[in-house]
Amino acid sequence: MSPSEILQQIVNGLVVGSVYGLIALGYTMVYGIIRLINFAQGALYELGAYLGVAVFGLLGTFATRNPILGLVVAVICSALATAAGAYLVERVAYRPLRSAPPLTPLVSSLAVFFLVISIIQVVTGAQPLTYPQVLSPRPWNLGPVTLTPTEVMIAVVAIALMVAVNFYVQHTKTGRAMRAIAANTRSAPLMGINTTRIVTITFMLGGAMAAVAGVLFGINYGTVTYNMGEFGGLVAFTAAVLGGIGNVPGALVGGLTVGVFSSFATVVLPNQWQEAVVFGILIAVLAFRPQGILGERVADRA
Amino acid sequence: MGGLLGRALRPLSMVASAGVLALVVAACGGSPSSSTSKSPFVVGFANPLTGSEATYGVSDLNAVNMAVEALNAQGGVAGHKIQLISCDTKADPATGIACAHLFVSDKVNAVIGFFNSDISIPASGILNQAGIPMVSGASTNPQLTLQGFKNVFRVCGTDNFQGQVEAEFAYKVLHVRTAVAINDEETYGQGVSQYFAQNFTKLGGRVLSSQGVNASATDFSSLLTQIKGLNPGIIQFGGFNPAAGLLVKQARSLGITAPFISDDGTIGPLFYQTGGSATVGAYLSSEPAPQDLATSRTFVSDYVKKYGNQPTEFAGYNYDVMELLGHVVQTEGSTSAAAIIKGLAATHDYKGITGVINFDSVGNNITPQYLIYKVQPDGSSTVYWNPNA
Repeated sequence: MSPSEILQQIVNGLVVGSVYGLIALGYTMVYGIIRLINFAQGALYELGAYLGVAVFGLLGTFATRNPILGLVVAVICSALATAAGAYLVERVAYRPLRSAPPLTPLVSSLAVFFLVISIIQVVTGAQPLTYPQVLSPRPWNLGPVTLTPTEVMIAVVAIALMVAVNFYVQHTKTGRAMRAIAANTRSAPLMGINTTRIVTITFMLGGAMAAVAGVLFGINYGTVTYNMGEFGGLVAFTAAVLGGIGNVPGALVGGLTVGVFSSFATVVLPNQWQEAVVFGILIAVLAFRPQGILGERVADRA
Repeated sequence: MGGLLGRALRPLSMVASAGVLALVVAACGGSPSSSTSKSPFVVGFANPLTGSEATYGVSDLNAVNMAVEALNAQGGVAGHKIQLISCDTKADPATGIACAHLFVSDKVNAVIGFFNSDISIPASGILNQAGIPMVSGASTNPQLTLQGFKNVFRVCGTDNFQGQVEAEFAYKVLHVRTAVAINDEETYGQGVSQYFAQNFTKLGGRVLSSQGVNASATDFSSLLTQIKGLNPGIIQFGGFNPAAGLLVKQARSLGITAPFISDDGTIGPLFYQTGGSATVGAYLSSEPAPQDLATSRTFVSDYVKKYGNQPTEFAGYNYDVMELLGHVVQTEGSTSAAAIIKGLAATHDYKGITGVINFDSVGNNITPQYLIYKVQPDGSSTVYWNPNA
């Protein structure tokens, strides 16, 4: 394998990984504050991608004439609508179970996952839907690596959002409340923190990030399928676990690591083993380092 | 009306399939005033006539009816008027197999069908036990003729043959000497890809890598990065969309400029929709649409005049099957199953509208046509190369 190929594989992995990292944020933040593995996150990612298609459809010729403005509108609308969806999910499927044993909301989250995906399949049919070409498909040759403008935009947007969310958690009043709940769920309300409100915000923020990831995915591949949330959601979950679930910067680290690993997996193994490698990582992390890469920084949990 | 008639005639166990049964009695065929004293030549026809694949099935039925009418207008074949019994498979294996049982109980002399390979294969077993000859004009899965059945023939090509045409095109027309073959790990795609690789090697080319991908995967950048390093003369893919569209799109994103060739699992609007402008210039092998064959011109114009729309991909083959069966009965002078099977096997340079028909020892047409299409800037595909021209 030539050095330029190694570099190209790393870059491929970073682009894909940044999207996974964005989805992983939702897993990690929700787990951080209420110790729930919210499997609905994968479905919200898919929902966001499909809402993006819908927005582009509504914009019609406006989006064809102003593709970048159209993309911004699609991202924002999809994120807001998915955040509303996340609110609904939290309100209906999790809040009534807040005092139930931990396994109950986990099962509930799996039910939400399948429910949302089934609804999308029924509404759109099993045919893949397509995204418009927003940025030029002409690739850039940046030294030894080749990248499309879309890929650069995806990595930049995804990483910037992850940094912004981290800033929000570390440096705002709401973020401090999140960290307080993470540190001690029972004593946080005693400090005057409205736990219900903070939990809702966390769910909505996670949903919005998943939606952005969904639209970015759609723009990159041009095609969305009704089952994209299954694989995407599980890879992002792996990313969250690998980075250290509950740890916000861990989502970024985990996402990028999973991306690069699966990119190199096909170099040593036949291509169809790519997915097996990702889940092999999940098993290995759970068995040998359940706290993940950054997981020991418990104080930083959000 | 067909449903009511069926319900009245069939035993209870057939009620379920009776709803889908439609009896089409060709002009004069079943009429008591028929001048001929000989028994009719009864042909069973099974295709999807309702459901998502009905466009094909109805077009095939129209084409067969055209042939039946023409033959009956000449007084039938060897004195036998042709009577067609048509059965709707709905593209569903269970319904299709009920059609096969219906043909057996109706003692048809021959069967035209089926359309879907996953129906043709099990149905051929039922017809084989009953000794009824069966000729398919649409099922391309190689397995159909590899079961050791003497009664099974097909006039359309096989998936494997597509791979061969692709290899010849790559080597002789594009003059490329190195290739990468990718398949989606499904029976159809693997077959096309494997035969491409074999034939490309036989011609003197070198296959640098053969790879399987997950049919439902979306990101192929890692695989394509390796392929870019190999710098192949052509990238061949055996499989369906959206994988094909995604592959070509991501290949172009990585700056891979090698030509891309795929198959009739890929041809159609979805390829352009998923791959966008990256698919323009891609080559696709496919059985010819009747409109693209010089020998089919009269058929197409007669068809359009009669039915007011264009015949679909397999209509020409189905027309040929009916004409060929008529020809066989005419030469053998008998409608018995044994005579028809013997006559079909002995077919020599029969000139159909889709090309010359000769069967090999297993019942495949030796000279089926496949064309290479090229994707145009508007997303449509037009004929680029005809191996027989």
